[in-house]
Amino acid sequence: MIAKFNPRKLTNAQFALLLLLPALTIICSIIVFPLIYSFGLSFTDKNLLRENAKFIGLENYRKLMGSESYWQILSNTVIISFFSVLGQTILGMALALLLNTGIRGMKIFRGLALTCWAVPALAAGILWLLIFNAEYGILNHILKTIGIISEFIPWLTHMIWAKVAVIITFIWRGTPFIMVMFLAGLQTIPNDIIDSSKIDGAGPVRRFIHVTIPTIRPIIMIATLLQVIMIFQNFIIIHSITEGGPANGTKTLCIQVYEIAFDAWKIGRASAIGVTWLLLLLLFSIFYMRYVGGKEQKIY
Amino acid sequence: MRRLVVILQATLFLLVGLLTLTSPAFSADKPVIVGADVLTSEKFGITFVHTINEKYNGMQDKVIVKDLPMPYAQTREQAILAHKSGKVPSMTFLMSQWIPELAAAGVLEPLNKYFTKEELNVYPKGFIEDVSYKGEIYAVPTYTGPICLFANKELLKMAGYDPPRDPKDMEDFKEMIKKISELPPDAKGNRRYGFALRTSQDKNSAWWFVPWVWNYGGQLADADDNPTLDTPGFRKALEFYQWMGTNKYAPLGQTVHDSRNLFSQGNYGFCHDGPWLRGILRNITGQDKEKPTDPSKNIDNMYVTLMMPVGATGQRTGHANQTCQGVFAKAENKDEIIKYLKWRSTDPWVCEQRFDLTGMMPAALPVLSKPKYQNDPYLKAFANNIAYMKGTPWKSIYWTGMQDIIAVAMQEALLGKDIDAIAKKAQSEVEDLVD
Repeated sequence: MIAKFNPRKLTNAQFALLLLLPALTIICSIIVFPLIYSFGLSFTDKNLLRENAKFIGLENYRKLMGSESYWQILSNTVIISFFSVLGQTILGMALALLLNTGIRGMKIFRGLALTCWAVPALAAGILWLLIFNAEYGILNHILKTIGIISEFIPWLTHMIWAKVAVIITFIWRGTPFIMVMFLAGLQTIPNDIIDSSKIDGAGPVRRFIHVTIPTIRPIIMIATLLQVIMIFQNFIIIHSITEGGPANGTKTLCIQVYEIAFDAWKIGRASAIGVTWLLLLLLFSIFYMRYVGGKEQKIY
Repeated sequence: MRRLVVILQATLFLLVGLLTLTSPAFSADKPVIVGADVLTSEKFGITFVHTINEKYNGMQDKVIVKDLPMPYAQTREQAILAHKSGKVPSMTFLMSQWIPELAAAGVLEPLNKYFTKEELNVYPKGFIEDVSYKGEIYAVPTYTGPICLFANKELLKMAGYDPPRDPKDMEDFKEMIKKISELPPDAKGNRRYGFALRTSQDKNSAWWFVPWVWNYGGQLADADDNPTLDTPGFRKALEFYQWMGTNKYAPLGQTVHDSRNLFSQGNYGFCHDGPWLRGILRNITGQDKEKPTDPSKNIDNMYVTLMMPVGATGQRTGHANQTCQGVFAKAENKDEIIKYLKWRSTDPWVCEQRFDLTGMMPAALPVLSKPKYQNDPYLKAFANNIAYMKGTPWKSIYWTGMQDIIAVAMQEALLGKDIDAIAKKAQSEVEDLVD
């Protein structure tokens, strides 16, 4: 005879597990299973146009390592992510410090700034595509009118300028997020710490380096790491602005995975790129949190 | 309390399950056939599709035809993904070049059994070959799009040519491009370009690069169907692009839409396109709704259509742009779908509507031979070019992947990189693609 299910007889741990079960099931089916499946696919020659796939060991990885394009694309991904996050962090911090002074209209400005982040990625991409267009884009016309340039800059068709254009777009889009995170951090710094450092004779720069940065370091670490991951994964903005051009100059791993999976239909190869990308981000995250982030410092 | 939480959770799950299972998706009285249609995702084609579907729905009572707007750039992968998911529309717009991969994936219904020999004879033989793969027909031809050159009459005159004047050969064509590019800027100070070339890194730009490879005698596959990019013809075509890119005779990074917009603005000597450009130019300028009273401002009078230049092979070449409609293998009511597609492809009224509203040429020969099409001066260059047009350059499941490789090679050439290195890299990548 089957014993009657009585939730009252469950221990707290069992009951907690029961409540977590639906969420765990969903997470396993949409995150863990695809991850393991994709890892398995990377060792096969799976093609979406063929029924059968065979095990080919490390062949996909060997081909990637020997591909000139792969290294160029990986380098693009790292360069674009690094400079975008650097720009976002500097600008985000500057704006957060400014807003933290309590200037008038802070709330309105914060709301306005957040619209850059709230705009759908595709709309943002198209907006900047139009701004950067060398022939009829507003940016070139403004720069020429005020005399900064004499010839139009080929923003989207020059290997370096195209990267700059993509980075500017990411900075524009990601800065409000960083700013809000930093501002939240700044507002948690107790006034007495600031006051005592002032009494000790610390100027604004020393206060920023020795008080502000250490205090909000966990927030800086998390916000920048999240942005690195987001830019690594961003398909829409780059695809809508340059489609990875010119001559693969702004193509990132994300776009390469898409092309290999849905143009060449090589799901095995695309999975291998996905795995290298995951490993790269994982290693970066560990290194970043452990060696750059360091241990949390208590300054008070 | 605990019992309540468990009961609530179970109820929620049951509700979600019930809602999913009782979705009222297919409760129409008559069967509905749905066409994934590029024409309804572009402004200039909506009226045509809606007009003919309305008529078809009124003239028979077996099915209701509806359209599903589908952007051109997503049609191919959406067809495959829909097939893999098991939930497909009934039919889809296709470029004939996509047929090998869609057929290999089992997406398309083989159509041989639905056509009699007489019905097939209605279409040009080359068109039927182009929509066939491994002996099976996979799509119903709808319209043909031989390409030709569109030339700005005013700029041609300013450069010393008397339009309509076809470029004699590639050297002559290059001279025309150069002269137009070197014209003084317009009244607003905007420079002139010889060619509103499609130069962005995408498949469409790669596709429009192919006629120049053919023009220089190159092929994208050898007799054994192996891909061949490192050929003299391919290199010559890259050199042609490099000449235009480095001399600034063509703007860089322009998509198909940019190229059409730029040409409509009047500072670009040439662009190459299909017959549909007339409808698109009217739409871009708003002249599809209201014609200007001043004939000199009428966009139709701004340009002239010219033959492609004679290439290294002694022939003018271009692609036929065979556009067709495929039927999903997993679709229901296939007989009704085929009936509709045959009507859409060959009915004189439908062809007339399409031509009037979009400029697209009928695929069916008996319709195309009517005076309406034969006597239209706009269509003359296209009709003259038809004999030289080619179908799919490489009938392979990897054709789309090859286009990605060509797009990058083309851009490297435009930026002035070493042609030899570009061709070798492209060849190595395409060999890896098919490996």
